[in-house]
Amino acid sequence: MTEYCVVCIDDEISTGSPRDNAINLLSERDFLKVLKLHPTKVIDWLKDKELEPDMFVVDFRLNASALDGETFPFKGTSLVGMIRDVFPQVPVYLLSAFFEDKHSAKEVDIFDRLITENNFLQPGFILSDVRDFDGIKNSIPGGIQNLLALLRSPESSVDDLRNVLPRDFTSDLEDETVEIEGLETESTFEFSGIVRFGRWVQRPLLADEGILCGDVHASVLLGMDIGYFMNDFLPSEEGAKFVQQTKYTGIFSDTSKRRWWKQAIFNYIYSHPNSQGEIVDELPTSSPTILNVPEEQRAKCIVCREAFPQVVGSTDGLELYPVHRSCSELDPKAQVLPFFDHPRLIEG
Amino acid sequence: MELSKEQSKSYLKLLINIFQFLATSSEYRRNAYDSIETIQTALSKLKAISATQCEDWNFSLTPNIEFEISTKSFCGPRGKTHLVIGGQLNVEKGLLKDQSITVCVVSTAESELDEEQKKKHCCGTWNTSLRTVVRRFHFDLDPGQLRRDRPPIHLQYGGKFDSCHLASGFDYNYELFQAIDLPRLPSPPYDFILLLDMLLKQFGVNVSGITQESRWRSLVRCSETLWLLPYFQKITDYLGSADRVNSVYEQLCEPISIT
Repeated sequence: MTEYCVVCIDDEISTGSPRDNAINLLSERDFLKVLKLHPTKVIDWLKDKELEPDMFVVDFRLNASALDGETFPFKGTSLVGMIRDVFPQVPVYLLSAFFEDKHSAKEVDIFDRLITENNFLQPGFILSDVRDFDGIKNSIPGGIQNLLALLRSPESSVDDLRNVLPRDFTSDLEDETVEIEGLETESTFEFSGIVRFGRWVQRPLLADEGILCGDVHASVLLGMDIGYFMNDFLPSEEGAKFVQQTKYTGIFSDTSKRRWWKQAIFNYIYSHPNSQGEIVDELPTSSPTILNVPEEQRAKCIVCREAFPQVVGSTDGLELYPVHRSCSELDPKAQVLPFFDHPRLIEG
Repeated sequence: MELSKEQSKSYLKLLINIFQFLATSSEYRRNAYDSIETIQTALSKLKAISATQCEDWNFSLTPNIEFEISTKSFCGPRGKTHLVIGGQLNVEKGLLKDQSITVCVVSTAESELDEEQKKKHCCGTWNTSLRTVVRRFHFDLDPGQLRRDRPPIHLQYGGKFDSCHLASGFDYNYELFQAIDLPRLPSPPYDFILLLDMLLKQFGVNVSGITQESRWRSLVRCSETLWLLPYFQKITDYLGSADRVNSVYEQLCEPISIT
């Protein structure tokens, strides 16, 4: 069994604090080799470069507790450039007490993933992501075909994935310099193909609505109320078929919100035995009849409460709701990638 | 003109390629982002149809796609004018049963018009809260048309109006007299790509550049081979025959044969 090594950079190491105990759990529970580093020791450790870890987990606030009377004057973001210079192929995660919306976009973007303390405490969470990054590392020599295999997409979405994949993955997987404005100074990082692919899968592929979609969007396409979708449809025999045909099970699926292949949802409805002879026009309109969804369990628009919302929209850019096209509008400020949905705004 | 199952299969493939092209074209995405949702949904539907290999299927472009067009070249009052393209097709037992592609020009006045403006521009019903359908054409392929009194492949002006496939959130005003559904003008068969290609070139909308791209041009040529070649071949053959009795128009009113 591969023993993975995770470097945790935290000012609370060996203090017996709850977070320190959580770090200890990584080795005791998940059998990870854990190296705990106080931020004041990072520069020396990077110089020595004794081993190449599989992941760095950096605490956001590093300036609270001193080691040998010395405190680290900056936040975790200031260490990222140094780590990337020495280990461009190793993912760097940000551990924070706050959710993403409490951080600036820049703070989040320079890390490969933001995880909360709850994520950190979840058994197998870090191990799962470390394994998935290792999977990327092992697949890179096989080229794009092997990388796409990590996503375990149904045949119907392979072309979409090829289209949606940024050109820099499909042309080559060499290291690339990406300029990102850091907080204290403007830094230039080296993102390796491993890190770039992992970042792309986590965001936008698994985070934004596009060729994959979340529970709310899937329930809209099936014309069901989200509660019925989760509590009645998915546990049913029919739901099991749906899960088998459409659920995303590729890398990072164990540590991300559940996602569904959108094209597979279309295929599921179009190939459903009840769809024969049924006019399949707009999916959210036809699906409830095909799937025998009770009238009172059908999706309703969050704005007008009428049936057959066709799309999903948001009031705050976070939570998605079923909505009619006519009860929402496209966000004119959104930068949308090919095959990702244009976000819709619902007036609060 | 003949229709075959092979032709319907080729058309489905062609439609997938067209919508794939539009969905991935950066120019289209940049300049027509409000119709990309329709394009992507259309692509998903067509791919699902293709995956089922079912011989009975239908397809509609809902909601219709819209392009804002410049009103400078028109003499109408100031306002927003859109070119709206939609349509539907039905395939039964592997054969195209019918196809109707609708092209509308809809206008909304930017400000309330005074009586003189209304009179001058013949647009008494225009106002700021209504979308007025000022032009509407159907490009129809109707193999079920057996009466020989009108061509099965035709262009129709006006026709029955239903706003359900148009962009929602607006009220529509239609005064093209639905009861008058003649003439049906004989027309070459226009599919989605041939029509889009022609309209984008003529109206010069902000995505017209895609019609110069080699992939698009190659798809247009495929469509021409699929639809226009047999159509014009039949006319040319008929005109070249020594024993022709009917006029070309009468010949075009003959039912489409199924092979």
